[in-house]
Amino acid sequence: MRKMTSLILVLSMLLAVVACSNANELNNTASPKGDNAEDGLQLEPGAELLIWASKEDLPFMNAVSKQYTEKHGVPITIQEVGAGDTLNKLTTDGPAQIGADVVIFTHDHLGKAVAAGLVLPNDVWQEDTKSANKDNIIRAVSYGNIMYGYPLSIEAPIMFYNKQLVPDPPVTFEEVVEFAKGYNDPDKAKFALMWEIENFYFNYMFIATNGGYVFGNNGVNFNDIGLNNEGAAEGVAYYGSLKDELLPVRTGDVTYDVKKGQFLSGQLAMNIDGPWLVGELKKKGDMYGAVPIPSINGKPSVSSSGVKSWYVNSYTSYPNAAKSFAHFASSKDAQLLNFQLTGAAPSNSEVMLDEGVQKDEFVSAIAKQFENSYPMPSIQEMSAVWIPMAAAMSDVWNNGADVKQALDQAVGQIKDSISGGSSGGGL
Amino acid sequence: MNGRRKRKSTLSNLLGYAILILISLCTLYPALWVVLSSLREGSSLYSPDLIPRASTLEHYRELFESRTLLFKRWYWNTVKISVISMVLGTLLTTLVAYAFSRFRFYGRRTSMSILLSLSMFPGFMSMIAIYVLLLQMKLLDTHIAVILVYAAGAPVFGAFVSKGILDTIPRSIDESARMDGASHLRVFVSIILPLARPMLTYLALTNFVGAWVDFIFARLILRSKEQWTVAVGLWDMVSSYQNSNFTMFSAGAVLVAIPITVLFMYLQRYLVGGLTSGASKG
Amino acid sequence: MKRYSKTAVILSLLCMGLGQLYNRQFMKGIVFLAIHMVGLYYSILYVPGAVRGLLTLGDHAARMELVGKIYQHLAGDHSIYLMIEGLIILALAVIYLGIYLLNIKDAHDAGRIRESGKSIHTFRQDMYALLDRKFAYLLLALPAAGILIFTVMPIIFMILLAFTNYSAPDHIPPAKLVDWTGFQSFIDLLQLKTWSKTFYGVLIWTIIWAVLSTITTYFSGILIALLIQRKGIRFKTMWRTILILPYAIPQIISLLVMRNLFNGQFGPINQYLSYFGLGKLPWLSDPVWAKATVIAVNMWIGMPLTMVLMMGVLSTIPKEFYEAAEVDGATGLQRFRFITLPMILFSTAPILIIQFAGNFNNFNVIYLMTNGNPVQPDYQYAGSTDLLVTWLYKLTLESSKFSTASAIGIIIFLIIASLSIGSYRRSRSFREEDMFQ
Repeated sequence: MRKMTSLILVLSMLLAVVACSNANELNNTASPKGDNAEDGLQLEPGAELLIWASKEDLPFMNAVSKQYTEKHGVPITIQEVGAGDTLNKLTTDGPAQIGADVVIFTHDHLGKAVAAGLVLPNDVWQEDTKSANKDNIIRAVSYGNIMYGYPLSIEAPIMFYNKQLVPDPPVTFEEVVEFAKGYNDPDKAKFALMWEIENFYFNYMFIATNGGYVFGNNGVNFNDIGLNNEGAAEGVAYYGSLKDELLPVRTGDVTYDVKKGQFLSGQLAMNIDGPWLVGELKKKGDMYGAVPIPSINGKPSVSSSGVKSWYVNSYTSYPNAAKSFAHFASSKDAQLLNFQLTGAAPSNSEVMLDEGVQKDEFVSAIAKQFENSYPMPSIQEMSAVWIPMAAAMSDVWNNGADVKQALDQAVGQIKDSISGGSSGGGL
Repeated sequence: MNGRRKRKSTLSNLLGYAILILISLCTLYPALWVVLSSLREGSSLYSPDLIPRASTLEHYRELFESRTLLFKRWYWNTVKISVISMVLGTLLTTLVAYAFSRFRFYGRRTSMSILLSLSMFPGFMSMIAIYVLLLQMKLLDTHIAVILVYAAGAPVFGAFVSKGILDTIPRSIDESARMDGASHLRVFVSIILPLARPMLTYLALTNFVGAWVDFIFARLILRSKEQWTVAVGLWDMVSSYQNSNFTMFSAGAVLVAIPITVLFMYLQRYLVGGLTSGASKG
Repeated sequence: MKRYSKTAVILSLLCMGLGQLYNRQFMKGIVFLAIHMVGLYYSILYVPGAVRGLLTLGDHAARMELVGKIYQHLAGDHSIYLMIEGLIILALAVIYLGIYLLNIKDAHDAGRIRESGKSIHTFRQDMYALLDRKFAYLLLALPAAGILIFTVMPIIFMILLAFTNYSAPDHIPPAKLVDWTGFQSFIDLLQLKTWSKTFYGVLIWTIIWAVLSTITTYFSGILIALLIQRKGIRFKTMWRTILILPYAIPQIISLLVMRNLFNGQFGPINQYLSYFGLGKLPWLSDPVWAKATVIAVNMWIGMPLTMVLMMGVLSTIPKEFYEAAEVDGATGLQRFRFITLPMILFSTAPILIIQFAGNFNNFNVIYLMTNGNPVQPDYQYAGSTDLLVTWLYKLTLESSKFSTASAIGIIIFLIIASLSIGSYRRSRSFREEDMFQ
């Protein structure tokens, strides 16, 4: 009998695998009880939708999906998926036909999603969407001149401050430095202001405010890199000078966790961070406030920013229902609801003017900062930028490296990486 | 003469205690941080002081009471997966080790070299293949799939260690049993297994712990939240800015450490079992 | 004399099981025949498609089509799925062929037995042989199946990827097809000179790291196990339980905690140092210090498991050895040097090698503890503590260059394999495995 037994076993297991592989067709036996959405778009009979939403968004998701179901009779299931996980999950589960019909992610993931063909364009309601949002938002949710997203909310880094320690939040970096002179006490680990000094997402403001940029032509021309131009170098030199005057620590020591811990324990007076911190600060009552990032060299700080939008999965079985939901859930009313339930800053220009929204100091700080911001490029070449730029700027901060040389080197590495990539699988 | 020797051994015992205490302190200090972080208010792991200024059991309560967290369910899933994959993984590994240690068959050395080299591939890309495979087998999002992956992977990393230990059990013992007419199966079950208890302990521990701490494969396979294991749930708590909740994460980690430690406390008696003096004579 | 074997071989070649039936091994013949039917059915059904899919990797990708003002998504071939499905089916086909060969050989052997005039084995005797002489194969059957499916097949897939152009931004399925490109990924790697400095720097540190972290955990594990198992030491259970804790706490959390403890500015360790009037140390922000710190932290994490293993190994050392040594008047050190250490090395040489390979590929510790930092501006996409795997991750996977990732993965494998398999084959554990007869 030799090795028969083992072989039979393997054989039968593999057979089972193959036998299953051809039974993949979807069984669609829904009863026709279709419905017309506003624009005369015929909803698929028997449509039902699956939505992925992160934990923070759940209150809004539950409410808005309930409204939609009541109006159009389409049942909706919500599955909780972490915000950072959504795209990865869509990459594997979308083509496998087990993904959500409608998902939500920030625009910087769009390039990856489009390159893999994972999302459908926003076609039926493109005029609606365009008229409701400003140009830079539309640009952020578009890729290669096709608009994909249904914008829901905006994100931008802002400066949070401890109201007890900072009665008058500074509006220029010079004022911050001034404040630090009376406040900093390195031995007691007390500092005036922190941001993640190694993270390019936050350091971007020093480059952009003085005329630097990542990619030309609104972040799509990767052959035009503006990270080592004169303005960028000037900004990075100023950044380097802040080590002595403002924050005499090495870049590796300011981690997100340490910074947050310091801020919440009342050691740190001011903290540049993203909107994700708002929820936790609100729990502490009226202890913390927020303002736009202080101006740099007399110019209002230009920061990076993000647009959170709905997207429709290419592999959805009910594209019409999915599009109709994405449109419904990004409408004016929905955005207002989102603000009320989760405190998110609306993307819709009209909702922004709402009295309640205006009164919220966190949201209005985000909105003001967003005015002076560039949404991070969403093209895939962006992934080549983070590490070399973090290395170059840390080198300037920690070791006082020559600014121009450090930036030139970083840009050289970025160019190498990008050109290697497009030639098909190089470095 | 005798007294000097005694004094010398007391002295070296004292030194031994001193070293053990020192190492224990080094071990306990970071562990204590984890425990105390789980009692700290707020959500950040960092704190300038070891002892929390304000302590709370809030994080534990939320873990068990929160309706969005499903922690109890994850815990039960993990218990299930870890126990089954511990039994299966240990069994499969022992079979491989026993075959390699006790039998001289055609292709043995080649298969040993292949097995050894399998553990050296950086495994990143293989994840996609496992995903598609499980998708085709309609096993995605099931616990069976996780157990299969863990158990099937166990011999790749454990078989060599186990074979090394089995090699030290003199073959004269099982050969004399074979002479007396015992079947291979009987020799394996009633002679080798009892003698190899320390090895089984080691294998059981590593396979059990794997299921509690692995979030990479579990996250790949378990697509819906209801099916997650504790490790996946914990990873989800800290994987993004938006929801980085380190203190609750610590609380979860403490709850993970408990079953592992308990299992070890139970198993450690078998670590010192093994060969008794003179066993090879019988 | 009748040529049974020749006839049997020809019959078995024509159709599985016929030779056995001819040899009057009816049960076995029927089993083979059944396998043949099933195998042939599935082969005809799936093999042509699988081969085609594997060769072409798909004809048309998924695409969007503008109908009026509505985009329609038309599904297409997913190259990666085609590749994996093709692999599974080919694996099956290979096994089928293997059984076919087995069937022919079996028919031949049985024919030979008949020629020599002996009576052929009954089915029962064959089964008995499986439990006796062939018991090892029986033992290995189930684990081998598992390893084949969940380890070997994925690794072959990974190797194949290196010969495609599966890479962002232009070849990501399902929007685009992936094609075979031969050795292009490797050629690209060799031609790009800019990264060579980074490669050698990272490689050297990776080897240093793998050697040091293996040695430190290994010997600290041995020493602690010996210390606890000493005769004079009491509260053994307590010591063991305390020392297992680093293993019981999930690595993610302990590494994050460590990162905070060793923080140069805000970490408690430096605060304690300053209480004693000592200066702050750049635990994680200076390249050399950071390397030492990660090795120390890795020792903290890895020591408990080695301790458990070593306790197991120690307990297998026959006590007669020590008794004999005692009679000869050997000192404690001598006993360690001439009995304990050789015994431990004998049975754990493989684990040294596996740990070396594991540390070489130790993604978690570096990624979670330092993420490769402190930064090293001279390197391309790597920091001072980056290992080859974490570098590979940053360089390729963060930007979805899967084919390059696979090519580098293969190179890393070749490095580890050449370093470790050779040393394993030279170890006593491999050469003199029959030491204990």
